[in-house]
Amino acid sequence: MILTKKLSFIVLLSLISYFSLGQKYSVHKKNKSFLGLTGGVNFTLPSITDRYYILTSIETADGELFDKKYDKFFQNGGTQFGIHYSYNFTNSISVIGGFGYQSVGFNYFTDYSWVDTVNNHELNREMHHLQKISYFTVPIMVRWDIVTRGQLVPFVQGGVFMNFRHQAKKSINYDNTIDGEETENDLSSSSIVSISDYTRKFNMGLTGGIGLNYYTKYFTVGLESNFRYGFFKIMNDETRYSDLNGFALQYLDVMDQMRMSNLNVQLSLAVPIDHSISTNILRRKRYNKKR
Amino acid sequence: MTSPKFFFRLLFLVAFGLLSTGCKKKEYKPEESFIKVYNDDDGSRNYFPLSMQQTSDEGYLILSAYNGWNIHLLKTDKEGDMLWEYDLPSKYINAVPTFMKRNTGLYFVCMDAVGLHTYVMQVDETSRSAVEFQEFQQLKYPLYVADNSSAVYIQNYERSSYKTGITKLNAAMDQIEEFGSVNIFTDVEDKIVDHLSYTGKRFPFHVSVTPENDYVVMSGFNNYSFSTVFLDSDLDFSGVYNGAAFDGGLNSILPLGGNKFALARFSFSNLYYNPSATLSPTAIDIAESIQAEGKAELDAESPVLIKNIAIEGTEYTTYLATTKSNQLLLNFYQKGSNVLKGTKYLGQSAPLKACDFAKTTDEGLMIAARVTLMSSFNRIATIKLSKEELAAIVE
Repeated sequence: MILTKKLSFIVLLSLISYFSLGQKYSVHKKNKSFLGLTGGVNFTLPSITDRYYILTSIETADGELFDKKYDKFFQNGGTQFGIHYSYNFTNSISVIGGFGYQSVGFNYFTDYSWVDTVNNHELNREMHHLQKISYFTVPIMVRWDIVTRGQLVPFVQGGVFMNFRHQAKKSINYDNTIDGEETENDLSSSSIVSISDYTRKFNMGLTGGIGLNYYTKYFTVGLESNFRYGFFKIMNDETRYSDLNGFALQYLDVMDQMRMSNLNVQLSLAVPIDHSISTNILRRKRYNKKR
Repeated sequence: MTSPKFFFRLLFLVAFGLLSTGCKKKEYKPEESFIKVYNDDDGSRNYFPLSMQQTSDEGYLILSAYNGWNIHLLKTDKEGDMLWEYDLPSKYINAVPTFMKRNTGLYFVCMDAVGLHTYVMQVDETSRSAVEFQEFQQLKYPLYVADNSSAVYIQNYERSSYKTGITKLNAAMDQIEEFGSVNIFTDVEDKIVDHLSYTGKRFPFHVSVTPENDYVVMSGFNNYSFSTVFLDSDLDFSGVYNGAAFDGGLNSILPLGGNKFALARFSFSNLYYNPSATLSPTAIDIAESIQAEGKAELDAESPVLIKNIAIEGTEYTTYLATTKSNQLLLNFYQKGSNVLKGTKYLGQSAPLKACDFAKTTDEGLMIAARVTLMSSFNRIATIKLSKEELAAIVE
């Protein structure tokens, strides 16, 4: 395991060294446009603004007794893919607009316990709630290429995004052991139901990130990571208790109100699209110096 | 080639448009709509809500039976969250529906565990309890109470004479004004005890007064059956719709005025609705002769509640019942007619049983029900529908 990790690190280092030290060209892309594809994974951090409960007791007023326990950042995984268009105003400043599809996931668990002292019976129920919300997403960002002298170009970018909800789904896995984990030999599952009507249709926020592009004559490959912070609340307050899927009373489930932050890591592949396929974005460094 | 400027302008235009239309016009109020289940982690306790009343602070008070005929009070805030609960001492048992309201005070009727006689209890929200308000030694086995603000009517069982009694109290609830009774001719104490202790069939005892104040309508034991009896203003017998022994009769009845009644009747396991029946208070007839529409999906053993509810200025005769698959079913009929204007099912997988419902001060609808949690524990539940949700049902 450790050997594999070391080997991977060495291979990665070699590749970076090869690409960065062995660069023969510099990139010239002023007034050029690119069209590309992106795809990758994302991780979600819900920020709870209001907690709601179906099951209530005097203790609930003091909080925490029936609070949902949300999974950690890297356990709330999702995926995204899309297309993007960029236009370079200068050799280092560009504006990027895109259109994509993003599925974000967030999970939590709840647990309840009842003790029947008369019949000597105890019932524990732990429920793991898995939610997935899918959005059509439109990011608009300004990108600054930090170094433009080689083919390997690191950049920072920032801007806004808009999300349009497509669908939202949920399922619940439950067992009778309260341990914070799904107990495999005791696990049952609900059906997968739509929670689209419980979620708001639109969100927007700020996004920013870093990345690395490698330019060739005909295409560009890149790796980037962006953080997104949504301004608006995710859940629809009006439909919270409408119990459209029957989960409210069966699983004592009602969604908290939240805002959502998201970190994505994605690969990109772009081609220059201005005028012709041979856009001459690469020039030999020597030739460049002479001019 | 399309200009990049055009592309980005278009994007910003779309974003601006969405932001403009995305602004919420209505402020969210959590008290408008909710579902709550009131927890008790003691798995040996079973609850059965009986009556629910909105209080002056816009919260709700729920009167329930637990573990048979013991009495439980629960107070919630306006968002349905539990504020306090109180188990009455074991001396007081068998609370009967419904609450009575005098000024801001709430009262209910219950029974003495040993003497079997009747108490009127007053809820004391300050001390979060209930205290004795009045005691009526002569009234044994209270079964139902009705209040029309000017008088209170208590139905009871006279165990020594095999009679169903009806007693009219004054508005202050401290004196008996009238008393009447009908003959059962047989001992039904075992049925009464099964009903009170929740160990057998729960009979739909009922008392109400016609809007004209000329007749008292009482469903209870009479003449070897479960019948609906009309009594005049002196509580003398006037007419009767006899049930089919103890297996048929009226499940619920709401006087609409002018000899019109909204009713539900049962015959063994079948339930029938007629939201606009014409009954004669002086007739001697059988309940099964009343024309009514069969409701095959409904559970005849569960309570049926009928009330007039105004939605956006229009009165609807509203039925709340329990389906055989343990959902709640709301039916809204145009008042005084058989025209069904709206239907709403509540609940899906967790078994629910209808207990009470009422219009709220914010024009919504509050329902008290019994829910069976995890297929095991009977608990008190409330379901609040907002004004908008209510209006959407009858659109």
